[in-house]
Amino acid sequence: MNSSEHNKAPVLKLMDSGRGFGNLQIVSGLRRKDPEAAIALYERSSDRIHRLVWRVLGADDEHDDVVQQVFVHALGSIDRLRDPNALDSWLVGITLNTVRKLLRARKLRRAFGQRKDRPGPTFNKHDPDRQLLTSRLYAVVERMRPVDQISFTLRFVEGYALGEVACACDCSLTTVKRRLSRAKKIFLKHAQNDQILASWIESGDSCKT
Amino acid sequence: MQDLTKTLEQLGREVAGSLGTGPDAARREAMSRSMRSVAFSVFAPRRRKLLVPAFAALILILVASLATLKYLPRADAPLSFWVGQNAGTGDYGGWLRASAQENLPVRFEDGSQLEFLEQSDGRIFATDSKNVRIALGQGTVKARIQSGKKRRWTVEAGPYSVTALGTEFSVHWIAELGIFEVEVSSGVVLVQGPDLEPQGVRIAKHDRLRIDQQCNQVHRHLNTQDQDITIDSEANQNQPPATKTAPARKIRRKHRAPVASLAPRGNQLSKWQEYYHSGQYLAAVQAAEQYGLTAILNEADSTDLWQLADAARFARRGPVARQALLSIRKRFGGSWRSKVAAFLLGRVAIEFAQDAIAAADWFKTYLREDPSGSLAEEALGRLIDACQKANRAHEASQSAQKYLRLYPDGLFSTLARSVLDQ
Repeated sequence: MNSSEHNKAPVLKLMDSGRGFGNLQIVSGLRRKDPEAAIALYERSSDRIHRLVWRVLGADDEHDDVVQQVFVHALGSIDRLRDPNALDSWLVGITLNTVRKLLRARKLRRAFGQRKDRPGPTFNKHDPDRQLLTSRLYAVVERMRPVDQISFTLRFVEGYALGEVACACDCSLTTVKRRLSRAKKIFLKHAQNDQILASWIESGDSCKT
Repeated sequence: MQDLTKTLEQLGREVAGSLGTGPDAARREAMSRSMRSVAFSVFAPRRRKLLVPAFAALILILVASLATLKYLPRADAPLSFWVGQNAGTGDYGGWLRASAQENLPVRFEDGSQLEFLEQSDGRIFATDSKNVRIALGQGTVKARIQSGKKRRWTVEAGPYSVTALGTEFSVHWIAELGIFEVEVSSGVVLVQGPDLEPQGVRIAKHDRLRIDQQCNQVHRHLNTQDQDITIDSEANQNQPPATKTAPARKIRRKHRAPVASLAPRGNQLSKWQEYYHSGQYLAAVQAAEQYGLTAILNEADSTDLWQLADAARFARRGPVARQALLSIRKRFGGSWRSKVAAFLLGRVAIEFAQDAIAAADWFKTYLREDPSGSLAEEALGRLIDACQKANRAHEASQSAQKYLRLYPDGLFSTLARSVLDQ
């Protein structure tokens, strides 16, 4: 595995500062309904939003819709942003809220038997072992509560520290710990019935898969 | 609990490495285009007030209206449309899904019609009054577009887009299998997307374009009346991977290219495949053996063989895994699966048979066939290990030097340095 893929990224620093526009310019442009500001916002923050949604949902087939919803919601509610300097954390908040709503809606649909699980898109067809491991992990993660799933994936897949997870989810450190504890119990319960994940837990060696 | 946290961190790193940081470039590019249109539609610039005197403007509008009323389409508002047999008013952007029992018709104000076939879904967008965009999520949509209405109709399916003015055509898309198909009954459409010429491919009446991206193999069938042009990388399996970007062209006259059945194979799964999909790998291998390994190895397609190899590896049945992988190499040589099979044969040799010499040879085979493949780093690292275990000190040293040159911070860099230090 390429360890650089997993480098911790600052949660609240979305923007790449080398692309010209600053937060103030973007926010004032968005408030003036300037499409160029909307494009600048997307260009500067899309990489991080893509990454966040991709890692939390796990190469989901509704990934594109979620990212688009995030930006459409951001454009429509920019007037509610009080401090332009908080643009980055505000966008992270919108992203995680959008993801949480999606996960809740899915849980509800599943409860009424309306959603059939579909195989996710192929994202790493050259490495079928890891793809299988990934799909198994997310199959278990889907059984967690939405807030727990978000905390779990941010902590372990995206590699955030506990404090960063708390900051991103806008909750206390204690709440994050409680959510992670709950998520671990669910993970252990279901992973033991899965040959791939069970061997991981026993050995922690990727080569066994 | 501390150990579990460490295991989960390690598992998370593995999964994160597998996932990458987001969708591929083609999807991002499509999203970027989509976001641009969203930005402009959300923030449409306000019209400036006309400075022309009111009376002159009124006259001008009247004259212009009379002169163009007959010829110009109603361009002020997006087309209204009605969905289903009950013709309920449709909303732009909302999901439309056809049930498993019946098709879902969509009728537009200008007379154009769409029909989502059973179990298909998609959305309709109006980026402005002259553009209608249909995003096909899954399945088939048939379109009958009224000509002469000066509207641009685009059906987007995955990374592909089909643009038409006045025509009748159908688009089929199976995202999971990467199968895209467009068939034109009348008029002309322009298809754009990856693996196609940058300016797009024009598909005329009675023509059909089919792209099968499955398994990294690109199949393109372009039928033109009595002549088929088939661009088929599988027919050139011994070609290097460059066939995807510069595919060889074969022209077959008086012979229409067969189109594979698009029906999902789920209903035809045999017993061992059912076990495989439910994660019971040992049971899958046993069921396959009961069914007859020889028959499977000789007749199954590459996907089934791949699954059998996986099941055998996970169930630690090395000989079966080896046979399945060798069958892939023999019957589907040149495909990406054949290349990865060489790598897996190396792992099977060292993990199940402790045969370091055979493992080293397979890793070298993989590196020779796919030197820039996604497993190249791991294959080179494992080659160092295999050579060391096979007492091929010189070869291990050479591989270690190459590894450190290419991947100085790679996973096997410690091993490579230790080999060079000896």
